[in-house]
Amino acid sequence: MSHENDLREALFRAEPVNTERQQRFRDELAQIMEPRLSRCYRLYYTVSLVGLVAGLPGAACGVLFDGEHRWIWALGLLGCSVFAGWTFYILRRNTEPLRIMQGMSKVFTGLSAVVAGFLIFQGLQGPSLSNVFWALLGLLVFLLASFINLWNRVIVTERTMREHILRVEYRLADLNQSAH
Amino acid sequence: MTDADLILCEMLVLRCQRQDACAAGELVALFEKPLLYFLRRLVRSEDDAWDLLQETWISAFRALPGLRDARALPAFLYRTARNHALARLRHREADYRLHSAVDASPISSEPEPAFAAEDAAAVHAGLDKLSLPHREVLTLFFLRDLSIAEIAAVLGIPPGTVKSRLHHAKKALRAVLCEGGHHVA
Repeated sequence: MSHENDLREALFRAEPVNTERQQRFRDELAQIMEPRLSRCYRLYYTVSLVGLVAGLPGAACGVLFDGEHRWIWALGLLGCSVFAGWTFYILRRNTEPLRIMQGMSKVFTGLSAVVAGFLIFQGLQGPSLSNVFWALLGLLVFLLASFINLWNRVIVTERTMREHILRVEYRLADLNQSAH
Repeated sequence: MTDADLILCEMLVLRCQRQDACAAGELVALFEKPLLYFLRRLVRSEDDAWDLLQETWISAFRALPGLRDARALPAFLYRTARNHALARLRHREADYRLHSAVDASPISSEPEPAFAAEDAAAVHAGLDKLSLPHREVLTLFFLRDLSIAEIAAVLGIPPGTVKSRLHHAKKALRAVLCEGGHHVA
């Protein structure tokens, strides 16, 4: 605590703490504090993994047999493989690495923008009903990814701003206290 | 707690909500001593107190993402610690009586005893000889983390009752110290 309180500190000194027990408490708490996946989230990731793995043969068939959209299927295959690996990693760790995931939302927005751009370009090159639907799908994925990214940014910015304000407030309160 | 302490608390809570592992460690370190001291006054055994401290932090970190008023964290922590301690006491202590008639008599007009840092060793030993309601209210008062209103919220009693209980507890502590030959102003 920043303020002086003689009796309080003297009381703490009157009762020495077992340092070995204290260290054990800190170690155990550090292990417990790492957030574990709840049953609901485990189910969600398991279902996602099953879906992604099931999508792999379909994407592979697309690469082999759909000459017109081969590169889209190839991207799908790559995406499914990467996300299946990522989901498996989360399930194995039994925890969500939220910091990495927040960074990933930016990458995902960029990737979906590139894919949407290609799909629209292809639609313009060879206009057909199926190409319009592909372009719309790309646009939808891009909009969803942008929304998630924007939402993350808003939350992070809001908290960072609040933290900066609190730092100033803390400094002022500390100075005020020192002056008295 | 001072304004600076409360702001520091809010800052650490915000950082914890952003999944900052360092902030969680700092928050635990900030409240480790006073919470452990409070718990040891309630359950007496050091091992039990450490276990309860761990349970308190587990509950606290579960509730932290939804905590709207971060400045209410100290009172929330003490209340959680007390609830865990009382749950354990209910199982273990046959003589557990929280609602004993210790505060039945009215507040007398004689001045309240004041305890200074020099009395710390005697106060520390004397606290263990008091009843549980007196022990907990005096410990919270001596730790200086909470206002009377916050102590009332922790103990689940009105602020007026906290004041009267505090008055009787101080008198009881003075009597215990005088019995041991220690003079209190």
